[in-house]
Amino acid sequence: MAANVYVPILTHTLGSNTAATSVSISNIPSTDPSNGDPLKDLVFTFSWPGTTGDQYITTYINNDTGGNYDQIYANGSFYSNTPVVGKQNNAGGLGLNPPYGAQDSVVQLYIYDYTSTTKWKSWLRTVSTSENSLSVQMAGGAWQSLSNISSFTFAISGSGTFLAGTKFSLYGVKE
Amino acid sequence: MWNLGLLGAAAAGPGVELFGGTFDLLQVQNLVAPTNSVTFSGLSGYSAGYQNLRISLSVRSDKAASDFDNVSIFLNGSTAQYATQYMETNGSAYPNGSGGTNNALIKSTGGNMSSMYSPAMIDFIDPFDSTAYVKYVGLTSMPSAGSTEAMIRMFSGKSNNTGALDSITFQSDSGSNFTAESRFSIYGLKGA
Repeated sequence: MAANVYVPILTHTLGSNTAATSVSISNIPSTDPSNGDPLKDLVFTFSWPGTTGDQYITTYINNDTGGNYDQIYANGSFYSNTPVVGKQNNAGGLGLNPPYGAQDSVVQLYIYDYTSTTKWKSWLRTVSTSENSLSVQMAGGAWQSLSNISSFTFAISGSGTFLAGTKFSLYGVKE
Repeated sequence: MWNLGLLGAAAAGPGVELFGGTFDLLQVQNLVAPTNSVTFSGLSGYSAGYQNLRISLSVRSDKAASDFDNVSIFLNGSTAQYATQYMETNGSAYPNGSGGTNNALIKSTGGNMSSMYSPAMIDFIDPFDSTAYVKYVGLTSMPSAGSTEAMIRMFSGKSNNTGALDSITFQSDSGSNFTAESRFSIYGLKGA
């Protein structure tokens, strides 16, 4: 069996405030760059000090802005005894947004079978927002496509931008 | 824009150090035919090298005319004697509950969902401590794909029998099978 199955693909930190439309990750490999071993899953971690305002971040896979995303989520907050839950069918993007805002947040997104051409791409996501809203989120969903994932692009509601210090990391998981 | 081809991907190297140890794939079962249950056995043999285990699932059931099916988890061959709990939502309600004595904590997508496989991630913490109950915590989802059935669930549990973990069985309920291409992977996390 394979040892050390997490393969670092990318770590990038924004040095200045950056418009979401200027941020993308492309040419995501389907194999371990060091030896050509196939990769099965993708782990995307994302941390940021905030956006310009409590705005929502949407992620698009392979530039697909069509209604091909599903997600279901539950948000809990320090400020409420009642969780906020919801479900989106055939949404036009994968919401990476933390609940209630976007200050000092971290996201881990685990995408299964991202190179499969016979499975839709299902995922699990956990989010923490440690400032302002003090909230946590668990979410799951899928991108209804049989294409392998090769890129991520982003949009922020309004005219928000990613602040300097926002960090994106990407790992492949070998089998 | 970061074009990995231009920036150059980070050297894969020997892998990522996580929690003071390395993260290794120990066993994997990729189904090539429908199967009712999948068992990982001989796990206690990993006790000398690993502190914790993680199991990752990407599963679908062939349960006919259904959007979902239940998946039970059996530890060391026991089909009872579990204490489990979960919190979940279907997008409109947020019940809490128990997986019951048969440890049915995961829902797989059913026969109506031809290309949709449900994800699940389960961490077993110190499963080789022979004096303690085997304990785990996990996260699973059943994406909806337009169905009224959908779920995100965080769960945890333990076996009420002490003894080091040696086997884990995943069983598709209701007499149905896991479909071909369902995937079950078990990873080991080394201690310091």
